[in-house]
Amino acid sequence: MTRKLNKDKLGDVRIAEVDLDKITPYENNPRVILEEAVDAVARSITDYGYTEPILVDHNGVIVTGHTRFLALKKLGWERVPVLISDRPIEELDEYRLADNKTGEYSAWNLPKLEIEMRLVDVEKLEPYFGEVALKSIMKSFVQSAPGGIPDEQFERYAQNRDSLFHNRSEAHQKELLDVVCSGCGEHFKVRRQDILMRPEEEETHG
Amino acid sequence: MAKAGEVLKVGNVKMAVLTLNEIRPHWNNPRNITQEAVDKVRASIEMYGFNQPLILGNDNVILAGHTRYVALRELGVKGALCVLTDLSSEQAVEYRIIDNKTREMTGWHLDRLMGELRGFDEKVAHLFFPELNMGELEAGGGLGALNGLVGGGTPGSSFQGQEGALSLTQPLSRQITLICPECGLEAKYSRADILESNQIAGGRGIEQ
Repeated sequence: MTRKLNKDKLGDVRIAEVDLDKITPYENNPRVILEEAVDAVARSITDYGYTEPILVDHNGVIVTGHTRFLALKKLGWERVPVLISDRPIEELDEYRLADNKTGEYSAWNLPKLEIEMRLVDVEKLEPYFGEVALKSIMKSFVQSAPGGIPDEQFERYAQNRDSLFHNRSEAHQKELLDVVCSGCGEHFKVRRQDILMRPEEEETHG
Repeated sequence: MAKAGEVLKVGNVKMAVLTLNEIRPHWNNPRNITQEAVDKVRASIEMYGFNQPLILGNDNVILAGHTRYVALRELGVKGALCVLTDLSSEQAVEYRIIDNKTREMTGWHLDRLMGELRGFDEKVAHLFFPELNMGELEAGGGLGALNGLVGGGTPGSSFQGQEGALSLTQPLSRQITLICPECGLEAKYSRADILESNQIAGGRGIEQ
């Protein structure tokens, strides 16, 4: 099936594998990168793979990914896939700041984080958070809801998790859902994914 | 440029252009996505392009990029460049937490940031850094111009909940209103029913 794609918004980047020493950090990178951050990212690359390629300008200067760059050096990588943007350098200099800033507009959702943490082996998170920080987060869960999330509620989440992870195929999301109007009895179709994306309305009572 | 559906493999990175309808937000994304965040990311995509692919796990569920995904939808974009990983569901949960955590481990180098911002168009600077005091900055002002920004490494920061956030994966108890195209009756349906059933019937309609 062919779909019309707005290419302007897709592929402002090319991907290529380059020598790690052919790319260079931006001389005035406005981020402070602690050794601790480099170690955490190196560990994450080892555990989960190099999933987010570094973005460079057409001269090979890093736009985003200074920490990843240092982590890969530490891991001894020689060749690395990178995204290359051919946009003007001045624009990318602005983007470097904007990208680091936009991330600050979102924050953790603690109830959801608690559920996520209960779905995994928390020990795997410890190297990234540190024992003290992790404990304090776990403690804040207990404080936000005495006793944390009740077991029965968690069971429901866990069940949802299984069905959502394993049975919610892409096709299911895209499937048309048959709706029967309680007024006139008419059947009409809606796409499940489209309506699930809508902003929330009020809670169900009862 | 990758064509729709074509998978491009470079080194160990697998990428493809997918339509947004093929991409699925994680049902329990542990980050709040505020409308403000979406607005900033949308502005950034409009101004600087879509430079960083969404990262997907099994079944094209998002590992990183929920805010960008919403922004792309708002922009009416049909598809996006994605990195396809084969992390298991469990690894995906770990990765989502760790990825957001490692991003918090760097902080602003305030002197350099100010140097960079001096070259910015004032409107652009204000769009992304509304806390910035441009007057002070231009007068060669000190760190006071960067009121509120956190400098240095800030491990362990930002663990405060945020209310009123736009969530992609709202509780299943929430309801959605649909309007019958035949008679115009509005009725509420639970998200759980929409997700679980193949046919849903309106509850009690809302009288017009």
